[in-house]
Amino acid sequence: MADDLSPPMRTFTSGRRRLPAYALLALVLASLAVAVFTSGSSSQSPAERALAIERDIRCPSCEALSVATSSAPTAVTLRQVIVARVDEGESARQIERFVVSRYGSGILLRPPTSGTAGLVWWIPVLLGVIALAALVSFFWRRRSLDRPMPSAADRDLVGRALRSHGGPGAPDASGQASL
Amino acid sequence: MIALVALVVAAGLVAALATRPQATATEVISPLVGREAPAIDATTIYGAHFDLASYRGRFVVLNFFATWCPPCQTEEPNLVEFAYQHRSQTGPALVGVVFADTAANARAFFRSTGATWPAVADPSGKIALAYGVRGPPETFVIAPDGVILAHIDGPLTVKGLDQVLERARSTYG
Repeated sequence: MADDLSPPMRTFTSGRRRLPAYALLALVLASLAVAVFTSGSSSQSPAERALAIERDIRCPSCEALSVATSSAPTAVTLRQVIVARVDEGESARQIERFVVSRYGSGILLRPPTSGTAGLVWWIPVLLGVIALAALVSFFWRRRSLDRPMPSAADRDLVGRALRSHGGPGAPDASGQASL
Repeated sequence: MIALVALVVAAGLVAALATRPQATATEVISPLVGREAPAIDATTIYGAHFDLASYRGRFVVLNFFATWCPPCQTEEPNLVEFAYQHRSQTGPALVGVVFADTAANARAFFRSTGATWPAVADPSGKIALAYGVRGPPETFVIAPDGVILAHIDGPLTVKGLDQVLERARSTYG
């Protein structure tokens, strides 16, 4: 009974209780984003690194095949160059930049995460965050409308009713009903 | 009646496809245009040393070709004609680069077509990679200062190449 008397307080406190959940969700999403964008670096062997790069580069002289899967002469040469550059200690980004400087950005099967082409990655993330925020806002407002806050007059009325029955539950000065 | 119409349409389609002009060369957007041409320090198909830097001061037409490539075979008489028309020592220099083919095949091809310009062997494919070549025939027009002016994909014609060079000369004075 007393719990029913203070829905605004309950809504507020339950919202506060959910804050850590939202923070956790944001943390998980951020971790996923970082994992995606920084995947495959330090723990891989040079051969694995080279293969990962080869999978992301289109065979220059064939359709819809990566350098890793094509046996075309240009793909074979590119594989040799990638392996040599990995052995020299170049990063995946440096090697991709070299290949793009020769063939243009269309040579990459996975768009880069920076520059104008990087928008391909970031726009969906941004739209996802906006959609999530809109959903949270929508349900928050609907919940508030479903449970309108009682006015001071409402509280007085309930308090008077409880006092007239002489039972426990009359709200104290802070508006909380005592049990 | 319908069968007759279908037959006429099919015959017309076949005739149109059979008599249409072959694919011609087109200038392509390349990240290398406007930049210095990658160095070529290699061996020709006849075993001589070749250094692209020694051609500074002249326009260079760098042609990637292969003997197994039909458009290259179509293009070759045009290049022979172009080389003859521009045979002076100060004119544009024609240089071939063998793409995914052997020097022996290239020598036989040159003998049969009457080509006399230097052609560089590229057994590792590294020259082709340095120029971002996808498949022959591809041609680069290089300015006297070593900057790439155009990247042309497809079989060249004498007229088309002359037009590109004319435009290049007007740019470079």
